[in-house]
Amino acid sequence: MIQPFSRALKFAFSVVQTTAALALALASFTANAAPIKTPHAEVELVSADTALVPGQTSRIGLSIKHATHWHTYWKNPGDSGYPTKVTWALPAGVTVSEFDWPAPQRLRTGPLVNFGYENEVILPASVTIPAAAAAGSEITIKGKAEWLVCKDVCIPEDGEVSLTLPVAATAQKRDAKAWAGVEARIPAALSGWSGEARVSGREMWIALKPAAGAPKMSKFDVFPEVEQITEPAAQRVYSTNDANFPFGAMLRLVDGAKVPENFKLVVSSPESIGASAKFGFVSVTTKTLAEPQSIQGYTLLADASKDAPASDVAAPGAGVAAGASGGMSLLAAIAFAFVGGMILNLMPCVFPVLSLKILSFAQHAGQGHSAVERRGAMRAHGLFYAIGVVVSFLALAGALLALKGAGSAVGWGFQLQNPGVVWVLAVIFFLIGLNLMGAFEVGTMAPSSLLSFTAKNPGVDAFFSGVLAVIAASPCTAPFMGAALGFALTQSALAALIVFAALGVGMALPYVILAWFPKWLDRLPRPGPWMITFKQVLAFPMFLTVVWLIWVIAQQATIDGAAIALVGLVGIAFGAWLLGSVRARARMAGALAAALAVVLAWPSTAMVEASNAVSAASATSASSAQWKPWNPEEIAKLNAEGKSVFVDFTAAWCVSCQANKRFVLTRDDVQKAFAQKNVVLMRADWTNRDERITQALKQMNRSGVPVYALHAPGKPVELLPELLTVGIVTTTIARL
Amino acid sequence: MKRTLTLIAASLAFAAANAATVGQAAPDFTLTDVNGKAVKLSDFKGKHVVLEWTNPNCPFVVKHYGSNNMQTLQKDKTAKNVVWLAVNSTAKSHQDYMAPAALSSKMIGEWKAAPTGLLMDESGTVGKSYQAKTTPHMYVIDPTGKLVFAGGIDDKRSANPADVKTAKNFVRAALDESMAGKPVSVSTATPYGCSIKYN
Repeated sequence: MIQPFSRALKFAFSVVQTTAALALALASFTANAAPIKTPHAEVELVSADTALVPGQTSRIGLSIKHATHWHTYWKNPGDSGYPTKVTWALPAGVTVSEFDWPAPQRLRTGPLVNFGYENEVILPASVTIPAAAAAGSEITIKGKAEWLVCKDVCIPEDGEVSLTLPVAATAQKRDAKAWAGVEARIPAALSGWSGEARVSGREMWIALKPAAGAPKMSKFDVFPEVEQITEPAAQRVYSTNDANFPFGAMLRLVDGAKVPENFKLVVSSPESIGASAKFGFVSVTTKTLAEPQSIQGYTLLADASKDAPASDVAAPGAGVAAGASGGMSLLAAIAFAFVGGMILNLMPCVFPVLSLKILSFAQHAGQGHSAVERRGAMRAHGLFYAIGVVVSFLALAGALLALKGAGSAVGWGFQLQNPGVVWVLAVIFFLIGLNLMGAFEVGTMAPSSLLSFTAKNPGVDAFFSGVLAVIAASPCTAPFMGAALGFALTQSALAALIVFAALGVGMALPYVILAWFPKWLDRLPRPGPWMITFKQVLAFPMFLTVVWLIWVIAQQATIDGAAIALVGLVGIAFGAWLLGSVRARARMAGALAAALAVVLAWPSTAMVEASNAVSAASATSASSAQWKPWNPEEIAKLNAEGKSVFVDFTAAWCVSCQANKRFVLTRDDVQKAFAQKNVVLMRADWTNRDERITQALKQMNRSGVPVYALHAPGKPVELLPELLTVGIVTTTIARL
Repeated sequence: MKRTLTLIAASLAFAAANAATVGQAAPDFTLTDVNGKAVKLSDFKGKHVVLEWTNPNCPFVVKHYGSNNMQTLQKDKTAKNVVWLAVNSTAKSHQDYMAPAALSSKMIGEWKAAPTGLLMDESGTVGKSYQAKTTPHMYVIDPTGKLVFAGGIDDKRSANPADVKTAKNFVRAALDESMAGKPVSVSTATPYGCSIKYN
């Protein structure tokens, strides 16, 4: 799975730390015999202590330095492989314990998953020597080490390892700190934790209860220490509403699995899971159930059949949006957000507002003051517009963070999942359109105090046009923005706010530049009657925006909801017409009529529910359609059958989603490409709030739509760019 | 809305409903052998069938052929009317892949392997349906078409050819028991070897 940046950084840091510690360790735990060197690994015995002490336990370890990308295996090797072992040949009275296995990594080769180690590892063991051993003598610990070292091919290797140590009355650690690092990799019993393995048929549900007060895990992995009981590639971990066992893992048993009554389960998490460790083991008690386990209120945290380890993610194909894979740095996120913000200006949902701005520039150009005054006013206008944009983005980010903090699963575009918000937007755009058409003048209705206020403070006007631009822009997740915003939402509040601010700055910058250097305005014709025509022309993009918003309402609150909204718009038009009257009383009635229309036409909750019921019903019966409703379980099943699945994460209010759908996904040549490779098409509709889709987006490090995900069997999920072209889709599909 | 986890569990990846399970019917398949002939599993109903997943570039496969262990078992059992199908699921894109002619000259020519058929499964479909994980990975199917054994060839999980002599060969034992009309006492065993190079 793609690691969010901070985790990736922490992980990288811990790898550096561990590697450094091990390098130190290897330097200081001097071994007598030369290490066994093969092209794939360097293996030797090392000692933690300066000497062996009669009657006491000392620590030694088998050190394995793997060549890059090669690995050896854990106690439970997973689908294939076998654990490293040493057959000891020891002097009488000397014993060496079993290895204390460090926590393993999940290693993927095609559809198979192994548990083992890459880079450098020391497998520690305890040595005891007879109480009667004479100080001053030497003891040689030797044995035949056998290990299977694999990358995409496997090489069984072996060799004689040997270590001669003096016997002494006392001994010191050769490097206490470095050895502590070696021991720290061994999972310790997680105190206060408990677990139950409930077996039914070929499934095993492991219910986990962390210690009281342990930090809540947002992601974790489990590794049964007993080999050959579970399929490592099929494992899903969940959080649940079960207060007794708030976490769980669903594992599939191998054919003929004999699950012991008790076994150790290593639990690891990128986060701390108590006692400052990131891993530890729980002793699990096995129960056999007659009926399959059923759990209510669970949330999928990770799916091992889809999550590729970090090392597998490094090869995104051509056409995958940068930043879709791997961790993203804060700087990169800021850069993406900035560029994304600039691109937002060209999006169809922002364009009407853009038209408004052009008009306002034209107005300013026409104001017959001195050139200097005019320039000052222009610059102030541009600045206030920018402030409006940035402040709005920060407010949205704040709202999003607050909602997230309150535990609700929201993503970018969440504002538009509420039909009430869509309705308000429709009303705003409709009123702007009517105003541009000249149906009413703002000046005739506003109280004179407000008028003089805006006249004195033209900045307020500019500020609010910035706010309006942001509101209109929110459905258009421009290219780069998905990755940047997804990143932002996994970050600290401060980092998130910085990224959103960068987005705002990017969006506002072109205007500020235009306002600063208004030379281009000289090219405009002199003010005159053409301006009225121009204004009226601009009303049309406004009305088109309204049509789109009403269509969204139809998706969210049925066709009835849309019809009521349309009647509401007629009411508003009537009110606006009255507002245009010269008579004060008629203006009053008009304002009242418009307000009433807004309230009466508000999409009701009942309609939203009706719409959900309709879409749920159509979801179950849509098997004949080309696009099946999104179903993650079905994806896993199809992948297991060797079929690829393409998922369109979309929403009616998302304009770029609709554009991609209309101009790329439904085209014949694209459909043909899908059909040729037998790709199953699924659509995840996020028009209304849907926790499961929000979760799925989060797992891909995205927080909004569009997202185009290609699930090919045995490969990590591939994300396509947010603005599709026929070429991008067909070349991606051709590579299957 | 209440949802139960059983729905999800039923479709965990690598767990297609038709996957091979000991005690149940072995999934049928048709594959092309190294000579280009189609071979269909269900055509061998009435006979014991052994499936052997193989890859001549895997040291564990070399262990059992280099020690003559696999060939001996193949010859012993095919002489007793057992059908032995060696399957290679290595993906074309992998360095271990061998084209049919090369595979045949290596295994049958050089190693004197004696399977009834040496089959190509480049797509890995059949390997995945049997959940074959390693080379070698062995399966025994009885004359009714039921899978009676799945797992590793023996109990000495190593690449050392010397271990063959002291190891308990599960495939031989399963065939002996099943052919004598007895239930198979060890019907699953940990497979060991190289990971199959699926695409």
